[in-house]
Amino acid sequence: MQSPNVMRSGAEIDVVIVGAGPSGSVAALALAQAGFSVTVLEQGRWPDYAAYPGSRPEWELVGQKKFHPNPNVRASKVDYPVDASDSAINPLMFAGVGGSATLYGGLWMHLLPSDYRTKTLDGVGDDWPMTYEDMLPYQLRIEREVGVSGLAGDPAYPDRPDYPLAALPIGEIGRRGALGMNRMGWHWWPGSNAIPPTRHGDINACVRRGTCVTGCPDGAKSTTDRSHWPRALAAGAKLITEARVREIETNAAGLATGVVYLDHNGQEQIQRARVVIVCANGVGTPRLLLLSGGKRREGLANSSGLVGKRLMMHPFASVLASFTDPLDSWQGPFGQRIYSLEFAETDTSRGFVRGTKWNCLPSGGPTTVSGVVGSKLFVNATGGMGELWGENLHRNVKRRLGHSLVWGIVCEDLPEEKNQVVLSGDLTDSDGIPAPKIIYELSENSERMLKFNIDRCVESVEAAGAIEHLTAFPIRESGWHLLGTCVMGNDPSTSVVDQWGRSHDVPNLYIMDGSVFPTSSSVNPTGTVMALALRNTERLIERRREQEAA
Amino acid sequence: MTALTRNADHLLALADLLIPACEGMPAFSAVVGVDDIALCLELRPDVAADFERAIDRPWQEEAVSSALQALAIEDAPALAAFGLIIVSAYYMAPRVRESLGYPGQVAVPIRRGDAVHDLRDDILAQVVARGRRYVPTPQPSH
Repeated sequence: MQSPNVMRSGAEIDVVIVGAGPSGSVAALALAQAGFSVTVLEQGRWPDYAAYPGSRPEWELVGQKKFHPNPNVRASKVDYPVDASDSAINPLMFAGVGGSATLYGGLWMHLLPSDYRTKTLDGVGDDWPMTYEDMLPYQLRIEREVGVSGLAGDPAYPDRPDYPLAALPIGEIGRRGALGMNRMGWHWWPGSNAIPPTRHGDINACVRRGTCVTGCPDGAKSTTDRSHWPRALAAGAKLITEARVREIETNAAGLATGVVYLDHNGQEQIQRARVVIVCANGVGTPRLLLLSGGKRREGLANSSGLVGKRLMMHPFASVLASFTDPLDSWQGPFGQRIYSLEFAETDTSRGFVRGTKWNCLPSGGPTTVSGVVGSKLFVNATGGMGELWGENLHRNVKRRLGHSLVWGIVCEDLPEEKNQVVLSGDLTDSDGIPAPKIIYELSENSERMLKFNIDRCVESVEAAGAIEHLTAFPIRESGWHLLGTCVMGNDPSTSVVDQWGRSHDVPNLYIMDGSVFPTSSSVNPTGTVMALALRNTERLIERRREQEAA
Repeated sequence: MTALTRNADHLLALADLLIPACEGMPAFSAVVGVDDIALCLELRPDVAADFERAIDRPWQEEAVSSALQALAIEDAPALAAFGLIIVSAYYMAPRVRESLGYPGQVAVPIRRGDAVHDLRDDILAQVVARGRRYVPTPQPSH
């Protein structure tokens, strides 16, 4: 419904997009190049590369606050807080042009063929409305736009063409991780990352600084402020930053008419548009739909009752392993040096269904490996002060700094309606808009999966000659992948959007982020999020004459 | 006089207990001064109040260890802030980094051939030799 008390400004445009992260950027570029008038509203700002602390001595100190992936820790005005008091995992995100990828490691994967067919193959979750083969052409095009480095030929996937850029060096930590996997007879492969070894368009060559997850000060990690926005702006797209959308408006016919947002001065504005596309991530998108719909308590586009439900966040564990040999393990990139899909496919003899992806990463600087600050990933089970400080501090740091690797274990969590995003009853953002509340608990399947994989991971690092290993599970600060909260499907009674991202209820409202995933896979989702956005935007462009609008 | 300078001796004694000289590494007070701590607090003003509580507590020289234990029990945020600032200041100190052989997060450009060199000894061969690992897309039943 239309709000009576907002400033009505700006002419109607073809498309308004909420969010300038990975998927919103893809949609904006495609639409602008096709001649659509398109405006993107982004609640954050343009990245300030000079502010990224990676090249300065205080990197580890500052990175744990201003560039922490948890918006509750950053407490920035342009973020919104999240009530995670009823969640086992904190959702992680970043508001800005480039979105949460600003603070990601650039780990880049395709979903596996079986990920699209979990219902058929394993009797769990839901099949996707498309297949691996349907998505591959879009994945490959996005890889070229992004500048992905990698090595083709991985036997864990069907054959594929070469990556646009050669794989990054796996380094000594990659070699050490691979040694353990080879001794166990298990799968591994050189990492694929959105980090170019040589300059790619506006993205500089990686210099292995190793600070990818606090923003790359060298401009050498692919984010859409570099890969997409220069071209989108040149093609005529308009981008408004510090614009927080609080509602999608609809008319009596049930069609979207535009969005209401608060500009950088806190002044309410309205952007009218013939089509609304929401790309605000698996938490922000259902939050916006639940905030919309006028007096309808269930929010907008929610006749299925599934808006906000089926939240998946990829429960995570890690194993730090130390070795006597120098591994230069402070050195970057902080993308994946190698990955393993040995335990990605279902084997019911393990006591769970679906599986995991492992990624081998550097272990960081001295403060991080000391284990005394931050999320205390690397603390022994007994965890007393004496183990962390005094002589032990020096021993721990000397043993680990430059001599250790970290295996991250990403678990495919299955969709469950009880895991969900709702609106908080008391927490608000800096504009007074209700914040999201997360309700999430690990399933027994996820717990079994992670425990099994931790045991296997320890076997691998011991086979590689580890002199120490520390495991971290569960890890609260691990909700990087926010998926499933506006599921796509063919049946309007069991899904929020169709396979093209179009709302079943509001035919000129689209969702093009990870919210639409029916299942989560175990792999990093950004590539698939962007490929889906490209596929669905091109469909929208192709069917422009048939598109209903207010 | 700030809490930092007023309690400098106390602060350094507490910090030396947590970061003593051993294993070839210098004690905290040998490489970090009050100015360095002030810089860290400027960089993390969000923990300044917690940090000040940690160093403003009544303290007797012979009971540094028990003072820390009491802090852990009675004011965990203060101890966390204290730990964060002193460990950060310590590992930012050039002499400490030199002792560890840690150059910091420096730029190391990738050279042509690095990636191929890292895969030497044919380490991928056995992965490839195991053959296909994936479950293909099931064919629709008709």
